[in-house]
Amino acid sequence: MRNWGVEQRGREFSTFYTASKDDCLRIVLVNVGDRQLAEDLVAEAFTRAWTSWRKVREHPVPRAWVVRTALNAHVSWWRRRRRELTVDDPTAFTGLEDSHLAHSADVDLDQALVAALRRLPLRQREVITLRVFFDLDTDATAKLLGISPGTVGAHLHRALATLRAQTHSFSDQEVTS
Amino acid sequence: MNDDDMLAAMRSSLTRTKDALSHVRMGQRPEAIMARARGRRLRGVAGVGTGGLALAIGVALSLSGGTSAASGDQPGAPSRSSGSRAVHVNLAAWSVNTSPDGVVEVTIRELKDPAGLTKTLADAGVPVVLTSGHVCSSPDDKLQVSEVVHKLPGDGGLAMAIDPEAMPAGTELVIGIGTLHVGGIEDGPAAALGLEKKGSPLNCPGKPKAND
Repeated sequence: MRNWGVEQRGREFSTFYTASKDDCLRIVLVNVGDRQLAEDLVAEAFTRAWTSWRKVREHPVPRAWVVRTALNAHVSWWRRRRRELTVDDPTAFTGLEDSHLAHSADVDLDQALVAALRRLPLRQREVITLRVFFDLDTDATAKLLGISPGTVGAHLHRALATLRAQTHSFSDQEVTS
Repeated sequence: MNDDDMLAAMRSSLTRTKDALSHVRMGQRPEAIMARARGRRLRGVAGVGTGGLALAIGVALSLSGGTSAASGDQPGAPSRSSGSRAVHVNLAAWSVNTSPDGVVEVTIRELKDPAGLTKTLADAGVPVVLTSGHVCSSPDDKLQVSEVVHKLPGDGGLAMAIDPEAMPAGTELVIGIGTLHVGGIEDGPAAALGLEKKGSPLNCPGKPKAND
C-alpha cells in the first residue's frame, strides 16, 4: 500500500514535470537570460518540488511555485562562477557555453524591455512574472509570495514605473499592438 | 500610460518573447530530478549540511571504511550496458557515486589524482578527458553537453550529475577543472564542460607546452 502511494506520487510528479518543465524553463530564461543558469535553477526548483510534493501538488498554481522557487534558488556558487574567470582561459570557457537566447536569430525580443526586467530587484521581478506569465491577481500573488496585497501593489507600481522609464520607445508603440 | 496599460503591454511583449523560445527544452528526465532529491535526502540523513564539509568527508570515509569502494551489483541498481557499473568512491578530494537510476553524481573538492578520477568515471560509464587549469575543446560540431551534465548548486565544491545514457555513442566528456576567482580571491574549484566525439583533435589554449 505504501509502495503504491509512493509510485502514485512519482507518476503524478513525472506527469507534472513533463508537462511543465519547458514552460517553466522558458519563463526563467526570460528572467535570467542564460540558458545553462536557467536550467540549473529550474532543475533545483523541481527537485525541491519533488521533495515537498505533498505540499506542491495542493498548490493552486504549482508551475508558479516552481518558477518562483527557481528565481529564488540560492545558487550563489554557480552564479559567481558565471561572472568570474573560471579557468585559466576565459575565452575557451565561453566557447563551451551555449546561450541560445543570446545567439538565436529567431528570437525577436523586445530587448529593452527584457533587459529592463532583468535589472529589476528580485521581488519586483517575481511580481511581474507572476502577474504576466501566470495571470495571477494581486491576492493570489500576495499569497504565493507571503506578503500583503498592498505590498504586491507597491512592488508592481515601482516595477512598472522603472520599466516605463527605461523603455520609452516601447511605451510609445505598445498601445497599437 | 497608466499601470494597467503598462502591465498589458508587458504581458504582450514578454509572452511573445517566451513563445519565441519554443526551441528551448529542459533536457533532464523526471527520474534524474527525483534521484537528485533522493540523494539529497540521503545526505541529509547522514548529517551533512552545506556548512559541514569536513564532517561530510569524514562521514563518507567512515561509510566506505576509509577507502574507496566500487561495486557492480548494488541492490536495485539497473543493469548497465557497455561494461559500466555502479561506482561509489568517496575520497577527501572527490566523490563519484552512481545513483539507482544510473545517473553519476560527481563532487570535486580538490583536483587530486586526476588519473584516478578519470578511471573511476570511466568505470561508471562516463568516458572523460580531464584537464587541469586549462580548457580543451574541439573545433568540430558542438554536441549538447547540457543534456548530459547538470550542475548541482551547492557550496563547498564542484558538484554535477552526469547521465551516461544521454551520451551519444562514441562521445566523451571534456572537463576542464580550474580555480574560481571572485574579486581576485581564490574561491574553490570550478569547471568548464564540453561533449566531443572521441578522438576529436582538441584545442587546449593555455596548456603548458613543456614536456609535450
